[in-house]
Amino acid sequence: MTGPERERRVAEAFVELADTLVDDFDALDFLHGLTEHCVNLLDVEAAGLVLADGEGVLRVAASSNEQVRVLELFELQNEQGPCLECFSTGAAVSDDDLESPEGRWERFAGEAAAAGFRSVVALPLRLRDQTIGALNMFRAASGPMPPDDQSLGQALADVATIGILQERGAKRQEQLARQLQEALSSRIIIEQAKGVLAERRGVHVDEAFRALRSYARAHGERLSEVARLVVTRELDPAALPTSEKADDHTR
Amino acid sequence: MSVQRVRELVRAAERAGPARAQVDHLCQMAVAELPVDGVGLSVTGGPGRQSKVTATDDISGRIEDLQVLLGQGPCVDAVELGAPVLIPDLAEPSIGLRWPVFTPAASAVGVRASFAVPLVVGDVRLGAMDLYRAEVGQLDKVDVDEAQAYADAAVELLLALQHTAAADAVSGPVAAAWAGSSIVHQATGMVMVQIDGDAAAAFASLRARAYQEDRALHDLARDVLERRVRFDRAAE
Repeated sequence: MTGPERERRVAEAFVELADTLVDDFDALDFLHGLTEHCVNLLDVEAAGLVLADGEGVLRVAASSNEQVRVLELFELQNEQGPCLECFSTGAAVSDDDLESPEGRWERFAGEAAAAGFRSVVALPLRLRDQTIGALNMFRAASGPMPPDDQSLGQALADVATIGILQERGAKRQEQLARQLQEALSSRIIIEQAKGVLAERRGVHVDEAFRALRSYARAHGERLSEVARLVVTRELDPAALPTSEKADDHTR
Repeated sequence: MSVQRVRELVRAAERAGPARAQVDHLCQMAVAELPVDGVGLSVTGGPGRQSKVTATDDISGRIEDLQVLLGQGPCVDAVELGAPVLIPDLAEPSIGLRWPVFTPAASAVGVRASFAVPLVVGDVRLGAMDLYRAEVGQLDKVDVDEAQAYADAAVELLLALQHTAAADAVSGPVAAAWAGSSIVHQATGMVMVQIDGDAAAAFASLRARAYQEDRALHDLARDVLERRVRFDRAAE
């Protein structure tokens, strides 16, 4: 790849990785794109990515090919390898010679060497003190990765990290907005149910509310759910308790 | 980029004091900065479930109430479209056709130009910000962008409050505004039984009668609750 051509492709990769706040954002596709950019732009044969899930457990999120996906899974199952170490320390780690007997990850190195790789570098997906995953890059040659390649790899990982965190933030906002709307809706439905019951029984809305609440408690149901059933007529108001003072006017 | 501007507005509103005052303050900032005479805010819990949150003045409050009452107007459309609705001159004949009831009612309280920008969060349309002018005239693009930044900042404030609330709770300013409309929904429930219809039909009946009798939805709801007004089919 010539200089200007590479520069153009690097620029394109950055634009693509920054563009996560779109309606049809697909996280897996996005992360797969990151591994492909690594292979296309850096002196590496393959790349794989692990990401922590909601519980902080690492999962294989993407890989540039199937062979690497299997290697990443092996790493997670055996709890040994560059991605795990990189994720827990938040710092880049590497093994320049996977065939050397002094390697740091014996079992992982054996598997990687058997797959034809001679060296590996893992870079953190990290923003300030928050590490969300790690990017593993595999090379067919032994020896350290050229420093320029490693910094470009880290820059791609950084942009992707910001993108992922932004997207998660946006999802969280959307979830809160839904929560607010649902809370508002259920309050409206509870008021309507009070009205339905008050009219059916000829009682005050406060008394109707007490009946709704004691029915919900007695049946271990949420008040908003009982209210919804009353409003949609799936629950016969006659099934609800009446207080001794209530004059039953059910028609 | 406007993200920066939204952050600035949120921070400025946060300095205004307790959480509940922040949304009010944000709307006042919008009136001070934009070429408009008043700003109102409403959120919706679904179609026909719009609820006023705040307004900077009586006319803005009236605009919010009218749209809740009538189910039509720029704010209702902005929520539905998820895009700004800009009406530089309410006297334009096409506007009278678009909102036949809202338009004369808004004009009657002194509104000459009416604008609404949606409160959008991803796929969720949470509500809208209404802005009005007592003079005819369009908002230019810079002003519309700025109005949208205020609407986005309002979303941030509302959701920050929601973030600290319980999962099934409604946050501060929304809850306070909502408390005032609870009797309308209670009355809706009573009318549902009287007309043997669903909530939408009952609410529409209430709206129609309040409009016909030129009275506040709230007052009519109170009469229904106190059993001074009925909506039985036989009575119609």
